[in-house]
Amino acid sequence: MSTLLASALDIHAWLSADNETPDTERIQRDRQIGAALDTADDVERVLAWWETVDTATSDLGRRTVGVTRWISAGLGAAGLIVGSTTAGVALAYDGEYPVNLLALLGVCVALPGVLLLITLVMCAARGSGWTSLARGLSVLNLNRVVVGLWQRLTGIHVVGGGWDRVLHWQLVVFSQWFAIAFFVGLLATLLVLVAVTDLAFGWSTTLNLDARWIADVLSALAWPWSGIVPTAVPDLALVELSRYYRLEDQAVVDASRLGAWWPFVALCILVWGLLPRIGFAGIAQHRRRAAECSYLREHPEVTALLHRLAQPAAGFAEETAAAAGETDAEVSWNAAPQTSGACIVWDDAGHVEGAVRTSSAMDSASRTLAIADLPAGDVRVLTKGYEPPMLAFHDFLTELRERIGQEGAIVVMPLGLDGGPASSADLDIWRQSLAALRDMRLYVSGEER
Amino acid sequence: MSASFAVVGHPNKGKSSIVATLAEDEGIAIGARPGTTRDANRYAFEVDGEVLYTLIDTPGFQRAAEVYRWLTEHEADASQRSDLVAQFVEHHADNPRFHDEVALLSPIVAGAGMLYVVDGAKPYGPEYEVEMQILRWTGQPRMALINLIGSGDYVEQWRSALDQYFSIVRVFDAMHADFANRISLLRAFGELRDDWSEDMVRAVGALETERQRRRGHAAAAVAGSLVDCLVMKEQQRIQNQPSEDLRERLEARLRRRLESREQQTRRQVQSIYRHERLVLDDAGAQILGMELFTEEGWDLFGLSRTQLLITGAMTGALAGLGVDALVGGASLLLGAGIGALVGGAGAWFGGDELANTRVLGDPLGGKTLQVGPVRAENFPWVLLGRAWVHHHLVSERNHAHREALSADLAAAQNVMDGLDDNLRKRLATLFKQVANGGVSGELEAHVETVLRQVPGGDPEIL
Ligand SMILES: Nc1nc2c(ncn2[C@@H]2O[C@H](COP(=O)(O)OP(=O)(O)OP(=O)(O)O)[C@@H](O)[C@H]2O)c(=O)[nH]1
Ligand SMILES: [Mg+2]
Repeated sequence: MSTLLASALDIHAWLSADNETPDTERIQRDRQIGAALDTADDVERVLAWWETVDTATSDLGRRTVGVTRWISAGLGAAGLIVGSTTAGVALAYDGEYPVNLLALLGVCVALPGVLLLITLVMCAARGSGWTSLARGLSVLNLNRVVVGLWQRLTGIHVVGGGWDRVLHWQLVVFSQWFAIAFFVGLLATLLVLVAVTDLAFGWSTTLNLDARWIADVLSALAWPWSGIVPTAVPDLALVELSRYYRLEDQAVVDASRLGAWWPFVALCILVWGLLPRIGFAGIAQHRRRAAECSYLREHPEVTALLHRLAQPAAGFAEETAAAAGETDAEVSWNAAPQTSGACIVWDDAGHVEGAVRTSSAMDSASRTLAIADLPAGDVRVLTKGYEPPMLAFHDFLTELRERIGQEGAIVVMPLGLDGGPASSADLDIWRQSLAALRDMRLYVSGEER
Repeated sequence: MSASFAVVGHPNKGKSSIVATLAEDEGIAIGARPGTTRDANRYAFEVDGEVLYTLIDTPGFQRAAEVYRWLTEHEADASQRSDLVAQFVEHHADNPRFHDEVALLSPIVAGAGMLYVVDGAKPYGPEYEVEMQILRWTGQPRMALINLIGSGDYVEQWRSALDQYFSIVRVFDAMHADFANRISLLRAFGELRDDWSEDMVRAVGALETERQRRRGHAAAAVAGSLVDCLVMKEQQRIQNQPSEDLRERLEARLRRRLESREQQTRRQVQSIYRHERLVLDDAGAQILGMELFTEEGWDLFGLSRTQLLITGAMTGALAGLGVDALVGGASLLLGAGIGALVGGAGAWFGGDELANTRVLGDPLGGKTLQVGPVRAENFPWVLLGRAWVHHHLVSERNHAHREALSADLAAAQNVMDGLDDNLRKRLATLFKQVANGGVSGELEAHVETVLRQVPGGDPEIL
């Protein structure tokens, strides 16, 4: 069982939940891990990252490993049972007729061979895009049920992103696992029967086949091991000797010679049954791993993760202090009285004949000097309404109040760019600001001069 | 020591806005009221933990003339004017009267360069002169930035005044500056002092890579959501025949899940662009907040009927060619014709059907009612169109902008109009593949190509 798939499932689930985490946090976390990784392979990097964060939120992966183990064990057991039962039935020898070699090879080697072929065609069809053909063929395969069971038991609800490919190869791996167990059961039963009973093999067919031809076919079957185990290659004499007809009441001439077939049969099952399955199972495992790798990688969140691991984290560190603006207190202002008192122009706000000119560029000494001659009574102060009121202006108003006494009204008139009253937004700002002075005879006027 | 820049000036001229734009920080306090920023706040730009430069947002000058008087009165005490400024800061560190001035001068005294911010939409006034004098006395590298708050244009007036005090004078619209403006400003920072330039070049490089990463990341988020939505389905095991009521319930559940998946992606994209707090304004809500399954939305964001028909026919023809190639090419034209016909008709009819409903027999016994996945041909296009518009608005959004996100699509007849035919064809094929459980890696790359462009407009590489 591949723990890669388990990790992939868990990683995807984890990353999908993680996409609600603020991006900056993800970058910090992953880059720290990524900087320490020393492998270039994407899958390995992701897995190494997973080791570090590993806080699996789902038990999907664990469950998948468990269920897969159980199913494999179940299939293995079933394969052994089916294999030995098949052997038991096919090798049933009651001493009357020998075991029919052709039937035996048909059931134990040719039929599984055809099933293997179908599987191969199915895989090839998938590979070349004939998905509907592949799907049609896989219906033939009983293992579909097993995969259905597998998905049901693990509770996997994955679709897309290459999951189909993983599923396909999982199915193939399951079926090869079953087949291997089948052949092992078959072989073991054959060897046991050979050891504890006497078996006689013969051949018989409805077709009019001549012995020479059969001998040719059988020795062709035996060529892989003909160099290694020459005794397990049937010769023409043995073939001729072994032919029997059911109707002819012919006694078995030399049962001991007919028993000489068994190494051939065993090697047939081994070489033409078991070995291809083991080989194909190896390939299927390998393909399944590849499918799992690409399933793991071909997830958008994983692509993004790989970026985060590799790219230097660039960004602004958290601010040292969060500066929150003060919330405005509601200020109420009385309407400014009409006044014809002295006029002061602050910061070149306008041109008024005979006005006193002061500015935020003057220090308090110069300002005091500028207003020294003001008579007691009301004053108007023209300011640039579009510029913000500054504390220097507050200072000035305080000095002015001292100068003219508590009785006189100070009317501040913020002006707009056109010389008229400032916009109401600007007036608001001025009122808000000047309220801090708590001067009952201070007014902010938005009216025409 | 790495470069640092104190953003200084009059109150309420957009200092914090400039810092928010450059630091991509939607949390920095910006306010219509002067005195919003009370203390100096530092924002360090780091690459893998190494600080390349620091921005310092400061309160504005409040009593500049008093400071200047103090400096001139004490001029005799110090051999250098810059020492005098340092002395001022030291002397008044605990004086509440000069709280703001101390906060803004301290980082400069400690070695920071300065960015003096003025508002080019308001006329220049002589009262600014003392501020500039003080800044000149510090002797530190300085640049002036003319921000534009409002519609007036006094930029030339400002330039001639600023030129006398600052080595670099630039216009920088805090609220509308785009990525290119920001990059060019950072380059200018590097020109202020020789030993800062290398770090600033690195910072610019890191920002550019980061921008690409964000787009890739956003594409991954959108592609992920497309994949999820294209295969999303609702299932329920049933005993007997499925009731219409159950079917409707499953369909409603499917819609809700699709919509919340879309919302999740939007949050993710906003987080990628550091706009977590962004909300849709009324107009934006009308367009982007439109329920996923409304007819107008399908027309606006998806392919038009004609486009659907054409795209469908094109991919259908491709499939036809595939069959021909395998059969041997003898029926080339016929195959392509039939393929085109089937593809086209499928697109047409598929346009109206939301999700197909199926009753599945279970290999292990029992039955399951399944609603979805949504097979309507236009569905992935609508999803993509909406995500595209949203991404465009968010990625172009400036962090000094604090109003709600607004989508103005009146000009764009159809969001998908700007897409090039080949890209559209490729996407159509990929959508099919993904819907069939295929691999989505390529989808991401194509979504990224889409996100690079302006929705509904001319293909423009950002
Ligand atoms: N239209 C427009 N408004 C801007 C721009 N820059 C700033 N503003 C507005 O100007 C006001 C002041 O901006 P802030 O960034 O808080 O200014 P500040 O200089 O930091 O102000 P203080 O911290 O109070 O000294 C806010 O209402 C901003 O929305 C701009 O480029 N265009
Ligand atoms: Mg501020």
